[in-house]
Amino acid sequence: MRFSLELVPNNPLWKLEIIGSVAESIGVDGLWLSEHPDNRSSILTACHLLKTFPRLWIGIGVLNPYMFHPLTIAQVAATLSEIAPRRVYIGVGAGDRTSLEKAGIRRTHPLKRVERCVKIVREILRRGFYEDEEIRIRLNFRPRSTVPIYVGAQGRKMLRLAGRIGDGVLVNHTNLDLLRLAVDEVRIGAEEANRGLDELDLAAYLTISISEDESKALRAAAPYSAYIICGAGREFIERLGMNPKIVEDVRRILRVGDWVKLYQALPPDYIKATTFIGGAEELEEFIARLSKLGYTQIVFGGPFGPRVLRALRMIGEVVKHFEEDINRE
Amino acid sequence: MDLERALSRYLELEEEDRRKLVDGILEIVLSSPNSDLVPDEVGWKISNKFRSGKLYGLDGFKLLLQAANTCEPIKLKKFLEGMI
Repeated sequence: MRFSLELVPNNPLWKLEIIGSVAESIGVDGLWLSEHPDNRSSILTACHLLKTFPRLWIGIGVLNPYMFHPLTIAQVAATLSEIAPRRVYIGVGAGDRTSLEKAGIRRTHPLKRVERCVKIVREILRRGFYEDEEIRIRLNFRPRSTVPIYVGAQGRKMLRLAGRIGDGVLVNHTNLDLLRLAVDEVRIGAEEANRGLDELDLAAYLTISISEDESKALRAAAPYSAYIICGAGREFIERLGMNPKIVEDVRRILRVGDWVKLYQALPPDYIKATTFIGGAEELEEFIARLSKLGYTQIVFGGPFGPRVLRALRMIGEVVKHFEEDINRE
Repeated sequence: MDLERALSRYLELEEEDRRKLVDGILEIVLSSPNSDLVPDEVGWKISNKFRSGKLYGLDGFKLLLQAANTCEPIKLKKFLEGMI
């Protein structure tokens, strides 16, 4: 099992540096930088952090083919591989529909777009050129190492596609039932491509709020949960048995950004259904279950907990527990 | 609690208590959603000191006080009242 941490570049770079430094000290292998058009550039942040932390790998996850042309993604990956050979991962996904709409972009044909994007990026990184009926490009430089391409996925079809074409999959769920179903879908996709699940890195991209104090953990996780619920499709809402009226209320409150009302409107059960709430022991149990399901990487995503430094150190205890298990074996 | 008093109290503390104090203020800064308010110059200095293991010295403490007082003045005040 590999462990990584999600960093969100809505924080100043100096703060990301400190958290990256803590991440290194608690034994995680890498950092995933999330990409949102209203945050700092994940690509430029990756440049900085790759130079700062020579032991960590950095993944950019995820870049969507609507805002980033596949050639740009390939160019970025190849350039980063020169800064840090074998320490760069690229995540490709359909992107968040709401964020894209804010940028005036309609998320049309997400499966086709992601599949084509992965194909183009992979070809350019492997062979230095790509050619089809629309594109003809040859790099004027040589990528310094392979760059694994992860596909970010949530829905069934995208999970299957990810299993079929990804070097890895970033499964964007925290709910255990959904994570279990995701493995089945990824497996089907992998089998369609005549390969086994063990040939790709299956990463659970979790939303974590870890604390001894449940009420504080819930409060810290509430905005994250609200964003997850609001960005989710009908299938997700139905599967988790959420009341559509409450979901609509949460969407309305989130649009206004009224956090006080959000804490009142969002039931704790909904937060628990979409994020991890608990202490270090519960997190260990949760990860052990994910390992049995076939997950090979755990991405600890924000908010981490009501007290970030304390939460990161608790995550460190969990990582250490699994490392000791591996050493015993 | 004024910051001058916090500084003089810091100097009176034993090493272990100084570390607790610094960790507590670092926690305030890292957990704050307002850290964009902290001047970048101060933030970079904090990061450099943290990564070189020098944040627990007097200079690091002063920088953290400045940062926390900028992004979370009320939380800092409460924390210092409880600690010192």
